[in-house]
Amino acid sequence: MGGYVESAVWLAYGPMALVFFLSLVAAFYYKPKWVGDPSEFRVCSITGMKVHIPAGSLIKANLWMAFLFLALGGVMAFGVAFTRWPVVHLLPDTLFYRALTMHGLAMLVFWIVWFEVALMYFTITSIIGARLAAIRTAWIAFGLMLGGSLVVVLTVLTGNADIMFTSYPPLMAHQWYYWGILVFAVGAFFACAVYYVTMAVAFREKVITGSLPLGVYGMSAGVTITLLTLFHGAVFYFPTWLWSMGLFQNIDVVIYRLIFWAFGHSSQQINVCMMIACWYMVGTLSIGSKPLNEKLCRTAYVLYILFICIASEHHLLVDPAISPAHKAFNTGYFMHMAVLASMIHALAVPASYEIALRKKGYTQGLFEWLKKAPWSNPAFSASCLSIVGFGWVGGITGVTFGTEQLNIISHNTWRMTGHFHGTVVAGTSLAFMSMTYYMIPIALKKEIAFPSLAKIQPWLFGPGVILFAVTMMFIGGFGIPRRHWDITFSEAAFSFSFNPIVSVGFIICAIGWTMAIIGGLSFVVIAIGSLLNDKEVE
Amino acid sequence: MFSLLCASPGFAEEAGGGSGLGYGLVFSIATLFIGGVGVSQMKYRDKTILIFFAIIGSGTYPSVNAYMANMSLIPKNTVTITASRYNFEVQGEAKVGEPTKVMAAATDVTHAAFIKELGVNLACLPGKGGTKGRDNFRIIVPQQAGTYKIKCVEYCGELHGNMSVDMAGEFVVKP
Ligand code: HEM
Ligand SMILES: [Cu+2]
Ligand SMILES: [Cu+2]
Repeated sequence: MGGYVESAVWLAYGPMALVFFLSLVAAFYYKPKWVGDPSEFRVCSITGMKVHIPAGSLIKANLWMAFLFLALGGVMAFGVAFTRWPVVHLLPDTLFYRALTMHGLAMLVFWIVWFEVALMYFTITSIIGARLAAIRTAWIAFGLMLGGSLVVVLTVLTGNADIMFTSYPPLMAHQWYYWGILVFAVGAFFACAVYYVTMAVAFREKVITGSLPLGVYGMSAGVTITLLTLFHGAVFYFPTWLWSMGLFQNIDVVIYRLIFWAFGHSSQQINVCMMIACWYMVGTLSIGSKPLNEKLCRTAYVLYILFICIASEHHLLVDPAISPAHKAFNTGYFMHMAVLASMIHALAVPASYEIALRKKGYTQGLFEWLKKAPWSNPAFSASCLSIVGFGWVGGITGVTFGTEQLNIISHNTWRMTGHFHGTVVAGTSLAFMSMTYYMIPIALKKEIAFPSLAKIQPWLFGPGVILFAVTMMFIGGFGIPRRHWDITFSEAAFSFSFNPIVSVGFIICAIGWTMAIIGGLSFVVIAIGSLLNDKEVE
Repeated sequence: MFSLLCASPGFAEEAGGGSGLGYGLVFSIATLFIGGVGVSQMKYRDKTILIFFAIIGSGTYPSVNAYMANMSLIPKNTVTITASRYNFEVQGEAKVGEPTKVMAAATDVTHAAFIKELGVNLACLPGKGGTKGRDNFRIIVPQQAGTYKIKCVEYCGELHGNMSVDMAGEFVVKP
């Protein structure tokens, strides 16, 4: 029986792909009736733009979930980090791996995706000033994502899915885990559809004339990559889910890993697109910066869409799926197509900040603009720290470790963990935090709570993450593996010890972890406090 | 300039699996710098992008070349690593200076065999229903004799952390 199901599913992929692309096309020809009326809008006192009021409650709901998951991930981070430090060694092995699975999922999947959905609705309704079409679908998306994520959390916390977020077969979670992930993904797919439909309607109703603002253009690139990513996700999660119910006999590990990373790496590019969009938008909102060269920046986004799948291959450098020649040429040459795009943004964004500040009259010497920048504006400082963290900590190391030769001595060591805490924590998460400081006042008309805590929050989180990420990479260079419960091997038959400098590294890490966790939790307090804030922006 | 950088001793060693962080960092910072020049010279954008690619290309070429040269050596020895919960079984020995093919597979779940000093980092993958999976391989030329401990660097279960120092997990390089 299993065999038939198996072949049927593979056969179904053709039509599935067709339906998928047809639905994309349909989104552009969808013609909803005009249901909104002008009283659904207000004018924002910060941007001077029209803001669609009914979208507010959706943005708020999605933000709530994002912040709650960030808090959950932060609590797990504490358990994970202080178990890895041999001096404390907090949790027993089973709980450690459970917390690690939960940390990866809560942060990388749930916090990030919930926030991105809120951000999508925000850009389209508050930056462009369009009305959110298909509000009911957006609420259905919210419901599906809520159901899916709660099921996953319960399955993981009850010990039915101690398999890390990568869930490489034949490690198998309880079927509820895959149910949860799939339902969550379907919800995210609906949210993307809402974004596209809203955009199509806005074009038709002439709310958007001409080209999109650069930030929104970046968001759209991100949403496009999301659709591709979700498709890859379906290709391997779907059979894996059937397998967990006994309907599929075997999952080919080699293929699973290949497609998992087509999904896993592309999803990181969504984060990058949306993070850069945040940098542009926060720059415009805080200091009035303008893109240096629109065409170049837009081209960079297109490069992301076109070449991201090629770049996924650096996750497979220790795998037999691809040949040595393929690995070498891919990571030696083709990977740089996507890297080039990041280089363009890495220079264009800070340059646009500099030009905007110089226009304000800070023209003395080379660095007056930097000294006089609005550092006490948490959105601005978080954005700048995010640029530094992403570019210099996450980005450079990513390009470096992504080459075949270096990867072989770094793969699955703490070099990797350090690298992606640079990209996805110091970069993406911090950029999202910075955007929050504008999103809540603009979309929800609420003042940011605890303003004095907000001023220092980025300075705790950003440097904290950068400190521990760099140190993790440093001691990873001595071969400290990732996902290891006990690097002192106290229960092993034979002893093994690392270079003693590693223990100094752990102490520095512990300082960074503590700063980052305090910074992260203060963000959660500020953000949730602001959502509950009665004070309105004048 | 880039070819010179790449010909540095650190780099040559790296093709055999040594440490090459220095090279990588220099390379990345330099490309970032060149990218910056490209953006600031926006008028000549198209030309600069071309030059940028050319430079990346010339920088990468020797690196790819050295790696491929290594991978196309004809191995004199074969060492087979078979992983299962929770140990590594090693068959065969390597010899200093001789190209060695290191093969790896698993019989139950995914593991990975890591010996940093030798530049071995191979996913050990299982096949269908508890059989041995597809062989993964890498060709190395060991530079130093000794007995190397194999660490498991892919989560394989609760005791994953202790898998690294099992007695069976030793990789021998003879002088
Ligand atoms: C708030 C501060 C944070 C701290 C102190 C922290 C700490 C850690 C530590 C120590 C590990 C390593 C576990 C190991 O290799 O054994 C880890 C893994 C990880 N972290 Fe974080 N983290 C933080 C925030 C985040 C955020 C915001 C994200 C994502 C947006 C994130 C994503 C991940 C992922 C994906 C892993 C890998 C999980 C795995 O190996 O399965 N972390 N974190
Ligand atoms: Cu193992
Ligand atoms: Cu293991």
